[in-house]
Amino acid sequence: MRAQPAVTVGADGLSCYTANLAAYLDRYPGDALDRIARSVRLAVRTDLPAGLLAFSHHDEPLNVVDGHSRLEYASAPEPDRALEAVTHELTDHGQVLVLANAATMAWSVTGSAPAPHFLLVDDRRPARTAEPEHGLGQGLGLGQGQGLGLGLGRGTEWHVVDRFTALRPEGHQPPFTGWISTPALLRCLTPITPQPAVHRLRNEHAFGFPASLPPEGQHQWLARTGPPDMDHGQTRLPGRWLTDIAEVLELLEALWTTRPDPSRHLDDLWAAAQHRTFRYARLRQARAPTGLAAAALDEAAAAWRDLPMALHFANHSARRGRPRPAMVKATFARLRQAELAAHEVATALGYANTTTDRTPDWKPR
Amino acid sequence: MPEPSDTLVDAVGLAVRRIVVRESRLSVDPAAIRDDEPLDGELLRVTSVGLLGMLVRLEDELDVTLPDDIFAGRSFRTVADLIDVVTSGCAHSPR
Repeated sequence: MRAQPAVTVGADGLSCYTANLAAYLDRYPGDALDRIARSVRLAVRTDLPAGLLAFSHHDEPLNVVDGHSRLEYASAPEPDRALEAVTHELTDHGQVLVLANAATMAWSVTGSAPAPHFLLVDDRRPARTAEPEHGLGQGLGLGQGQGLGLGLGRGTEWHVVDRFTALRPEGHQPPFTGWISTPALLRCLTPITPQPAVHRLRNEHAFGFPASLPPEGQHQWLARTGPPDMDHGQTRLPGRWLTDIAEVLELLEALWTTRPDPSRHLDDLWAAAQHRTFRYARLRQARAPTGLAAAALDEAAAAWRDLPMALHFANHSARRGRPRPAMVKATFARLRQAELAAHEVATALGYANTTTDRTPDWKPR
Repeated sequence: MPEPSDTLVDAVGLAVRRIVVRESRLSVDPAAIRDDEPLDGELLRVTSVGLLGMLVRLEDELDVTLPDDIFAGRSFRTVADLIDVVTSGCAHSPR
């Protein structure tokens, strides 16, 4: 019998990684949404080749499930081995997160653009309807009769939970919960190849700190492994990182006003905006501030919400020869001002992010 | 700042209506679109990406520069919201 997930409200506004990670974590003691909200930060790695940036959105390792175990990427080159491993995780833990490709999920609004996405699988059962023979290998490069040799796939349905919901540029992405066939699950698991560097970096830092990635081109899931190593590697950011939000915003403003095409990082900024607005919404709910304090949080959330649209527009304009540096500067100036006020409110309410929020002498420019 | 003239508001209104009809792939007379028609409602279907594309096209068609604070705390819910922001862009643009 499938356990009923305890998360029913509140995950709106999380990213395509954290929305279903929250659903996974919520089956263990503690308030998963509050844990994620408190962990939200924006740190940027600046020493990668070719001007690439890596983003860390959490200041505690969210792959630590409890005191005894953690989640780590695992993979298999063949679909049947991946399904076998997913089944083992289901048997042992009652749920498993798989690394999906949003472009191959039937309910995704993102169209054909590939995008990594955590998907929760929390049950399996014998299929109630026969699956069409031709459906098995679609999109997987499988020939007839290949794969699923263990009998795990054909004749099986999988219960998937996708709590990710957002107003995406392409339209409203609704959440999805339901049974899908093995071919449909394998389509969701279709590896993104070749994998863009920004996707690899997002997968690597999905939990806030670098995680080991499996070989490219394999079906991936998150396996429960041994105890977290909090002293060695689990909570370190190797390389050169900016963790102060004021410095991060300065860097991003410079990126959008001086570099020719920063659009590869638009989704990173969109995720940052999602996480920040989620954090402020949870803070509003948890501490119920009023008056100026509430207004400061609302303004910060609004400034983050407006950021992706402004940067998209600036990008559009620059590509057609009408760069908008003043718009970008105005957008970041508003964000800096709003962040300063919101930080003071968060600190006063005991909700500060102690490791990464701005330094006390930070002043808006 | 001087109030925009009726002629300007009419010209912007017509351009906006024409573009939202095209964006929503409708076969209706643009003049029939009401000011309070929701951009993402029963009749018009404008996504965020569509809105960005429309703003870009309106800048080109009307030869205006939309204000730098166009997204700052502003919501684009109806046709009138779009007309207002483009009209303010016309008022700020050198002619």
